[in-house]
Amino acid sequence: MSRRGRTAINLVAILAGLAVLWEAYRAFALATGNMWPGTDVALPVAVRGSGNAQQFPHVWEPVLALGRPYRGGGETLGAFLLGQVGYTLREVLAGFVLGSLLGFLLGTLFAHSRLAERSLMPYVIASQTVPFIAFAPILVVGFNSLESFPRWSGVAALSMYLVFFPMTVNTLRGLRSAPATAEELMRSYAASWWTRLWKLRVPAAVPYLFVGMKIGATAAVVGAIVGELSAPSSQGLGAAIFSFGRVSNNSVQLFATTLVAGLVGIASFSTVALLERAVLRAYAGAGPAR
Amino acid sequence: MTSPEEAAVTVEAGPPVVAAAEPTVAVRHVTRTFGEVTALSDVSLDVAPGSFVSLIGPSGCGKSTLLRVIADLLEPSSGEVVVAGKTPHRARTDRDYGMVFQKATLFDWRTVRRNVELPLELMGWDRTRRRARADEMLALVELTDFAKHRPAQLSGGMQQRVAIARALAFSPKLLLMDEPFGALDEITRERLNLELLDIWTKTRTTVVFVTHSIPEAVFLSTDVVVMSPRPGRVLRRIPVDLPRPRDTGTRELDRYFELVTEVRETLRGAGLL
Amino acid sequence: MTAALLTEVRRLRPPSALPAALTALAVLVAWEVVVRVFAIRPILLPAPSAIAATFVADVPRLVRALVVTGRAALLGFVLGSLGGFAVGAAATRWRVLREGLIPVGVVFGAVPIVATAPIFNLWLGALSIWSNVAVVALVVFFPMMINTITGLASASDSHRELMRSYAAPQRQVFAKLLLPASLPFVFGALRVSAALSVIAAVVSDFFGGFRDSAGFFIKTLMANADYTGSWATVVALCLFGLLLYGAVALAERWSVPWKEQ
Ligand SMILES: Nc1ncnc2c1ncn2[C@@H]1O[C@H](COP(=O)(O)OP(=O)(O)OP(=O)(O)O)[C@@H](O)[C@H]1O
Ligand SMILES: [Mg+2]
Repeated sequence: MSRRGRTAINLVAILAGLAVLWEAYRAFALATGNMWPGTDVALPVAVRGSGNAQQFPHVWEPVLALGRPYRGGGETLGAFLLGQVGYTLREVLAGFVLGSLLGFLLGTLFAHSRLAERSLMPYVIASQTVPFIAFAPILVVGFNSLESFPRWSGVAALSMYLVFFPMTVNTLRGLRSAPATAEELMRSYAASWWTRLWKLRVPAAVPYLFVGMKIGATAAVVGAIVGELSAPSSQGLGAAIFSFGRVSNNSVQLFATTLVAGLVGIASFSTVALLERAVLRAYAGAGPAR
Repeated sequence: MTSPEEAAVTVEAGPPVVAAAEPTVAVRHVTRTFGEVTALSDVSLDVAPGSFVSLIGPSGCGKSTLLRVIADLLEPSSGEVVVAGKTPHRARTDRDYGMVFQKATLFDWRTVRRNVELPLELMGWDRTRRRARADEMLALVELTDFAKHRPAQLSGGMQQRVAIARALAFSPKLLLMDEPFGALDEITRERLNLELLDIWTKTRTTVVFVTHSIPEAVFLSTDVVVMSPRPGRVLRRIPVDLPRPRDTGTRELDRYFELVTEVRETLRGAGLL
Repeated sequence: MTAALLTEVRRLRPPSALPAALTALAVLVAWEVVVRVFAIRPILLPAPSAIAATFVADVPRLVRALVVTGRAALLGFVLGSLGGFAVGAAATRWRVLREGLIPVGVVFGAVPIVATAPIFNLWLGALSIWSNVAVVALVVFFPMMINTITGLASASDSHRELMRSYAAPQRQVFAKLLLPASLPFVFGALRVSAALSVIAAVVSDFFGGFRDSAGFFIKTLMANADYTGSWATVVALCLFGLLLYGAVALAERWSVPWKEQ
């Protein structure tokens, strides 16, 4: 069997195993009344509730809930969440595109100027050891105070910030990855700095750019969700998770929404990964060392 | 390059030299295949106690395979191997041999001394004994001053000397060396040749030594075993009757040149040069 | 995200100090000047001097916030790392796990795990520290698991063969070869996790819970127009993040001395 086929099977087997574990825990807790058998010590997570208010639903219940109206009547949860996904994706997309561009430009600047690299790079790096996502409320509230921008742009700005760092570092690394001999060859043709950049360094950087963009694709989603819940906005997946999480009798909806958020993250990552595969195949070049 | 069949016809195979005492290594009609590839074909070889046997032959002829069959790192497809009177597996678990690879394969995270101690640790020696022994071995390979260094701080030749010290640390009956100096420059190599001979004389270990270098094989060995290209078999065994102790002067003896020529002729006769 | 971030942080080199220090100074001065000259509203950007003043005045509150959030971050960091290591180490024994868990890690690395905070609040109680710890632990778990699997597999064939030639039992091969060989990878994960654990802790604060937590302060002070207070809390949190990262980096220096250069 192909390696990819086996990986897929292993992946499915492990996910199925996790689902089985989930159900086994559920059955166990129900059977023992949420206690460790023979003791009066409670299990860490209690299985209780019914209908939409279950704390530990069957694995399929959140999925089924997507097809039912999510309150009193009318719109199904799935339809509602689809709208929220659309709202969130707009922020993700804006943040991702702007962050990637900004990161690319900054990385190119760094690659061009040693001084710029040495004076700014430490901060770009240090910023990553620091919980910058803590700025979420500050950034979103601040941005939203600017009348001329739409409400979602504050969250997009947060996403952009989270995307731009990995992009900068990888652009720099990628532009530096062209072998020195190739650079000398180009010089021997008297190629200009621009020509060398576009014909040699950027193509060499492509695999690295994708590494940066793959990190960014997930980071943008995290940024959007955290941004949404930290501002008094009331739209998007993050806001939905927040509001379902507030009210405990909506817990099945909460599970469903969290699941959808996970899928959005995976979709965002996979989109870039698929693009990467297509582009790299077209190039048939070597990937970055990992 | 001629086919192995032709080679076998054109070269007169020498009679196997059987030592009087029980051989330290006895390889009997060993064949080893990897799928379609036959790496060793009906190889027989005796290594007498205290001898220094070099295996020489073209790349891919199965020298490493033979060594690893002896070391029980590979199983023969057919045939029998006896090491120190036991099965290779038993010899391995009894730690009857030490092994030196082309790459030093030291542990980056250990100091030089602790690298030499590694096999002793595995054998359950206590700390003081281990340390004393490691220092003794490092003195033998002249690396006492580097006991506290890490492998990354050593040159390739020094690393290889550490590997030799490590292999000798528990005084194995047998030393298996797979191109230990293959990655070194000519000058370092000749120095280490002398050092190795010195160690061999002092410890009286039996050595099976794989090399690509004809001068090295002749200079070091009691016997040079010339192997044919794949499927590997023993073409000829050439006893080296150079006087001992051997030193830099040995390389200038007429007999030395004759023997080098003889090995070369054997390889050429098999269409290998 | 995390998987790729791992390779990221592993390669970072300590920067040279002088140009960086000058930049910091220049940025601070420029920031202060711009805020004053253009009279920028504090909701957008308070002056650094104002943030510093609030920081100094608020030290007791900030310490309290760091204790609440930091302890969740630390506990989660430790438990998640231990869990990730244990599962990764167990995985080396079974091929299905060894081969299957890496893609699982990649998949979960693409998931915004911090979004599970409300679920843990539901399970363990929003006012229990354990719900915050669980989020942090889950976030930290995957990078450690991936790196443990990769690290334990990183010993070269020739080293394994050497151990085989010594007839070393499996336990010894693990203790003397696989484990030390994996340490650089394990520390790579720890460094990433140091940052991630503070991030996860503060995000789970945002989802509600403790009134004294850093995340709570950042969010509510911002809503109550105490902008410098919010900024000062972020600064404190950043300092905590740097401290944790520095501690891991120090521990790495000490335990992986052969990798420094
Ligand atoms: N593990 C293996 N799997 C498949 N084939 C192998 C394996 N080990 C060796 N071979 C094959 O067996 C043959 C002999 O290999 P071996 O390494 O013993 O050669 P060698 O004489 O040591 O060569 P060199 O001088 O280059 O080291 C080669 O054709 C090689 O491709
Ligand atoms: Mg070989």
